[in-house]
Amino acid sequence: MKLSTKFFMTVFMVIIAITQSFAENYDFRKTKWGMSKDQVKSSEPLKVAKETDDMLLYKTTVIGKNVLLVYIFVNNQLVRSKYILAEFHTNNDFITDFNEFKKILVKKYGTPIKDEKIWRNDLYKDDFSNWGMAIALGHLLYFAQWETSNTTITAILKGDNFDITCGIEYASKKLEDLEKKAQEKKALEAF
Amino acid sequence: MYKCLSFLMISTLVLIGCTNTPSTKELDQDIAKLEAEIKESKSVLNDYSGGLIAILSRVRLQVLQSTKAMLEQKRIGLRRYIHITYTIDGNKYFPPKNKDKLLKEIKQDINNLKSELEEAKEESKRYEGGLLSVLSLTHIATIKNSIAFLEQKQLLLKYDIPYYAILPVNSKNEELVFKPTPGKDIDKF
Repeated sequence: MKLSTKFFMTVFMVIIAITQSFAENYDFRKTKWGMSKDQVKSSEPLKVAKETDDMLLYKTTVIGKNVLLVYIFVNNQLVRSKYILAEFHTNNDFITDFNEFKKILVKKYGTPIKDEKIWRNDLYKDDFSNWGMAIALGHLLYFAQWETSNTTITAILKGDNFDITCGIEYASKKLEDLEKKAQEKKALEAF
Repeated sequence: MYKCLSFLMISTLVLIGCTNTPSTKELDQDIAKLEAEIKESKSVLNDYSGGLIAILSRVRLQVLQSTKAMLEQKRIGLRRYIHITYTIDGNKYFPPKNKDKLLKEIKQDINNLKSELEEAKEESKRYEGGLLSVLSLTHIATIKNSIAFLEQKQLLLKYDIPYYAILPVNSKNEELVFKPTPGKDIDKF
């Protein structure tokens, strides 16, 4: 009896191990870095809202918030993706949204390697009720970063000329150079 | 009998030839004014790539363009003898009985806003940059928007076009639907 229990336990453990090793390890949602545009399209159940040669845009919701989901490609390889908050607020609610994004990222990836509040102008520093205004004017920005073996994850809340951007960016570490080279080439072509 | 019929036909043709196409001079003037405002609004938009001022300018441009489209429809209708009627929720639209009074009130409001705009422009000249300058420019853009809305109301009232008619039948909001995807939230991060 004892032997059979041991046998079944071993078989069970082996099955678990095999399942784990065959399980898909995605980099972002159901995608992996380097995937083609068509592969990314088939991984998303959503309708494409906008498409260009090097970008796919979707509209979806995460943690109850409207977001734009963007996939960025270089030479038909997925190099970066991001969530951009598509909610309209008039006060400090953007900070609440950013903190909610940060909370779920901490839950998944642990403590961030960088977690900063950067004041470029101290005008509203002592008045928390106006921090939303400070962000909108570009006086204050929130920034947090995580790293996995393949991906750099950056959450950011920033503003300029009353235009606030709150988002999370996922970038491939391996394909970072590919994108840099493509950007340099594009910049050179402009001259 | 034949002579009588010929006479009737010739008379009819002469009478048709004598009728004038309705004058659209006033409409043309209003459309020209709108075109000038649209041009100015576009030049403002070229100066801003994003932000509140750009958003306000875009709203103003849309209002001006929709007003112009409605007036152009009216002009074409008049020139081609097409009588345009508007039906809202199954009921034919009739201009309000106190139309003249309303037009006077709107005109007064527009004049007040125009003098407020001049004051805001003078105030804006005092700042060359920074927060106060941005706030001042935002104030100007807001006043310009209010004027554009009132002018729209004024022109539509003047030419017996219901305000309701400028609303698009198929709103583009359908394209803006944000849909959730199946699965746990944490797997999407």
